[in-house]
Amino acid sequence: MRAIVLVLVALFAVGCAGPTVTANQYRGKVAQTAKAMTGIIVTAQHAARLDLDGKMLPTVSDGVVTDAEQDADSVQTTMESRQPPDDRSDRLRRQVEQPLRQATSLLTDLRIALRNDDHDGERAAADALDGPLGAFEQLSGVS
Amino acid sequence: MRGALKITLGIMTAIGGFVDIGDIVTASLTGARFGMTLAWAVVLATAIMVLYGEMAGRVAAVSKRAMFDVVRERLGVRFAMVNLGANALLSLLTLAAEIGGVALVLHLVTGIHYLIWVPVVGLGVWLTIWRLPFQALETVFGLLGLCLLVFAAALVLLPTDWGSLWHEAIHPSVPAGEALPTWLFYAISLIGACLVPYQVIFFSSGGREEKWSVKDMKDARLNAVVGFPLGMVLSLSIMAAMVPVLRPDSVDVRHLGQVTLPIAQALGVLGLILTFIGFFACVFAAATESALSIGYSVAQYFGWTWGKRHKPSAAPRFHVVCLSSVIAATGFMLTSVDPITVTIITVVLAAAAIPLTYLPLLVVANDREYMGRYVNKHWQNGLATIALLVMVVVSLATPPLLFATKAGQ
Repeated sequence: MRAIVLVLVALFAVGCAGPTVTANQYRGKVAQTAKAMTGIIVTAQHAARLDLDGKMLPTVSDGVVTDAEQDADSVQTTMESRQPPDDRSDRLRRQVEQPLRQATSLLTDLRIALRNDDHDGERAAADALDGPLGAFEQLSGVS
Repeated sequence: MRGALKITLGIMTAIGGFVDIGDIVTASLTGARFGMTLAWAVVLATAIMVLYGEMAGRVAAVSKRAMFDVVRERLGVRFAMVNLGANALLSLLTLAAEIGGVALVLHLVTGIHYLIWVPVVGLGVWLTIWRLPFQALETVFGLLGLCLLVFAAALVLLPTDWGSLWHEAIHPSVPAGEALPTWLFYAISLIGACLVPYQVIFFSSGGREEKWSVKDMKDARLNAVVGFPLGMVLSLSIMAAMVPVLRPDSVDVRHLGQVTLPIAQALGVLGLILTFIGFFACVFAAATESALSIGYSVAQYFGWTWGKRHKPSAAPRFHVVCLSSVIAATGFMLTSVDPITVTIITVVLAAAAIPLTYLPLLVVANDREYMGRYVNKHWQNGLATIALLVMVVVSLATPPLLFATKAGQ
């Protein structure tokens, strides 16, 4: 019985760490992540800028940005749970993780500014998202 | 005006059946990701829908009986039971997706979490079925759904490259960076979203609600020929409106809010309001249609009194089935399962189950005992057979494509 529990715990731990992949597959996952993040950031920026132009209902901009924030969070969790198979992949992980964290944090800032009706904060967060966006556009081509 | 009102059943079926949450999600998702390269799938599905919709209307008008009634008698109790089971299950899943869809629309408008709206929407659907006369149902939702023409208007105002849109639509090919199986998976999803089985059941039963007879065949035909292509125009407009705004960055459309961005860009707040009215009308109509379709098919199979033309006290079992479906679908959505995921699964399953609904209709439309001199003509049978072959191919290709592409990833 104890052995079964240990095996289950081990399987669970492996499951949490994400499936082991080859270096090529890992690069593919990074590119996929970068592409997904590009779409998420562009959507949030677009919603924020339309909101600043007075073309959005506040509930819709809030909904779009909140969804973007949650999506980014989910992408980040998935990426962090993947085990890089070698040193090169680990370097790639560090390269993608930095803009991932920055984007997630800026999306949170954007959501807070939106809800507080803080136009300057909204504009600043939307513009600052250009930084991680550039990084993700570059990383989209790594595969 | 009278002529326009005569085709409201077709418009409502198209608005609620064709342009429902499944179609809104798949059309916008494919537009943002593949441009207009999958427009052919919508056109093909519309042609099939017109062909079989006309048949369903004709069967209802000539035999003066609705589809499941005739199918059970013509093809036997067992076959009809399998058919009934598959259709009812799929319609239930569709109903759940639509209830979730209406809740998402209300969430976007009010900011209140969609799960709070789910039971309210369920109650609204049931009250509509219980209280609203069939004619009012058709007119209100059919006409309000036309607000979605705002997508066509937005397309004109957006920086659209018309030449490129047209080129992609008439020269379909897999876009660079995309895999063929993924492209085909989404083609199947679009076909499944357009050919949801409950449409045929609702259309033929609606014909009986309107007491169609041979004299009304022209109206029945007009409903099919005008209503479904109108649905196609709306669907293609949604798809095309995504191209100039979301496609340059290949945005993965996973939320209803993203679909409204092109409208906000082109038409601002007024456009958004019209969009939400249109979304609400379409998705709410689809919820009502799918709940009614479950009631129609079960009641017709068992030979119970059915329909909104009867007082609820005269058709209690029909209303109990409708109410139970609404409760089950609402309960399912309250488990917090993602409405968009349910929608995508539903359209894929619908694609796999299409032939089950359409084959019996073809058999009945060819039976002189029911149809007399109004049986299918040779050209109709030729086209319907080709369409059925397409449906079988779609149905067989769905499971492998679903697994090979990990549901379109």
